[in-house]
Amino acid sequence: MNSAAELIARVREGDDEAFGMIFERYSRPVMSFIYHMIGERDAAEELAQDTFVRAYKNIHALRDESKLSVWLFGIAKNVARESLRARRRSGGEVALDDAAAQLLSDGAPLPDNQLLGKELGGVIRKALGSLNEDKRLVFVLREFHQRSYEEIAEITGFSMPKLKGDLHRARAEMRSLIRPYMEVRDEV
Amino acid sequence: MRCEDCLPRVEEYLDGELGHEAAARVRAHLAACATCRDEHESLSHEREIYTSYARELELTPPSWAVVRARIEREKGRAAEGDFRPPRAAAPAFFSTLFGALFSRPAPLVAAALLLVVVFAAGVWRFLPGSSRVEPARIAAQDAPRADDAATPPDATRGDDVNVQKDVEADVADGGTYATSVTRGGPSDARVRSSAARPSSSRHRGAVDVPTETASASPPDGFVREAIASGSIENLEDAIEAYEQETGDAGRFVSESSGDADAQSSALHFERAQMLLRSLENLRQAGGRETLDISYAKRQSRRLLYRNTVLRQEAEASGDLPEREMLGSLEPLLLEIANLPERATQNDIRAVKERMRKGEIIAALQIHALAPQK
Repeated sequence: MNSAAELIARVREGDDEAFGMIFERYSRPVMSFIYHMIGERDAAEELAQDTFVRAYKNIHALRDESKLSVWLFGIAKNVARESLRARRRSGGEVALDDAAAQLLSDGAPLPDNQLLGKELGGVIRKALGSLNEDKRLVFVLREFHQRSYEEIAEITGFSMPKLKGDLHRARAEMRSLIRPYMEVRDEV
Repeated sequence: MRCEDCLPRVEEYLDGELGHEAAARVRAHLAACATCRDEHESLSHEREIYTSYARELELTPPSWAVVRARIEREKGRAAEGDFRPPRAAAPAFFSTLFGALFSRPAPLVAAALLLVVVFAAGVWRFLPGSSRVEPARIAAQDAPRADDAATPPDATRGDDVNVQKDVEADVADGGTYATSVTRGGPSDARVRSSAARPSSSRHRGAVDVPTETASASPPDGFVREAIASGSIENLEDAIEAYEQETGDAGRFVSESSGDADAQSSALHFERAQMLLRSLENLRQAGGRETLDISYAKRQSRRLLYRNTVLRQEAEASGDLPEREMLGSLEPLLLEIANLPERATQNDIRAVKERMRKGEIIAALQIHALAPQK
């Protein structure tokens, strides 16, 4: 299996297929990360493309090849943030395109049999959307991508105290939002 | 170990982020304490839910063919000399201008950049209200909440302890800056400049990026947009994104060549200008009494470290104009770094007044236009 350093070296020599292998390796996690940051699948796909195009253009800037993944996520973080910022400026809101989440957001009482796995996924996504950007960022990187604190600090630029504080608060907020559904689910 | 010591550490323990000894103590306590064990199990259960959710999430990944086609288009544009900044936000006019600028020497680039920034700011001011970019929120999105009291012991809401700890950490490892740190008011960590040592190539919280591309490159259109918006938060993010992706960092790195030194100080002055202009444009939104300027503080602290190093280098090389410019800038950076996390209008006004009296932005512009050695 090609190491990241080998692939990067080949890309720098003009081997686009090597970049294709990097893409294959990281496109899913990058897109998943962006999706959880912005909440829209179609937009996440496009922003994931933006991420890799930017990465290709700036591959020369990557000094430590062993940190390729962290570097890519750093670009993805920037891309997602720019998108969120652009939406705020235009007065838009982050939309949830999950049907279950839409159902939950209309305030209608839920039938007992709806509070199962798939719907819990919608609840999680809705809860994520209620976190502020910084908390969502560290929460997603930690819980969905199992990044170490050090990696999260590198990706986000946050200090360790801020990172830990945001992560703790994010977990508490998520817990308060999903726990009622977890309790009902456990009772079913 | 007591429960009140264990509970705040359970999360880190689960994350595998505790040191060996601390983890052993937590583990021993969990074996003996049902309350803490319940908390541990509850957190574990939540983790399993999130892990399952992430694993089961079905997302169609982007297509390599599409990405490859975009890359080929970018290559084609580059070959034709049609420069496009990484972000598509810059209008075509600026794209063309930057394309021409990149082939020019650094001083001319810096001078042209200043003209562009001044022009853009002037155009922005006179545009009809509907086209003006609304200033992004200045205050923190998460206002202080009751549950903030439940934060881990080493994380405080105001982050003043973080400032102190960051600076003390720098001192402890003989890093960038020798400072004496004292606590001022209730929510104020004061940083005082004392003797400085050469910077180590250490930057908190960013992937190392090479500096061989560092030059007096004009900031990306997105950065200029951030300046015009008057949002320190936007500026911070824009600078970080630009540096992280392009490698045009030029900070906390010691360059050996004279050209690299000139470019490094030019970039430093450019960043200082951007920070000061953003403060100048800062406006209070919606009747709030205080403004969250934590980003400006952080940026100012970074610039302060760099400023001290550059000033020492200028002294050593006998570059008096450079030394004087850096000497004029340093107290202002210190003042910004010493502002409270939530600054009042009076605090900001005092800094703006100092900037105006010292004509520091104009001085930075003039200095940038002076021929480099």
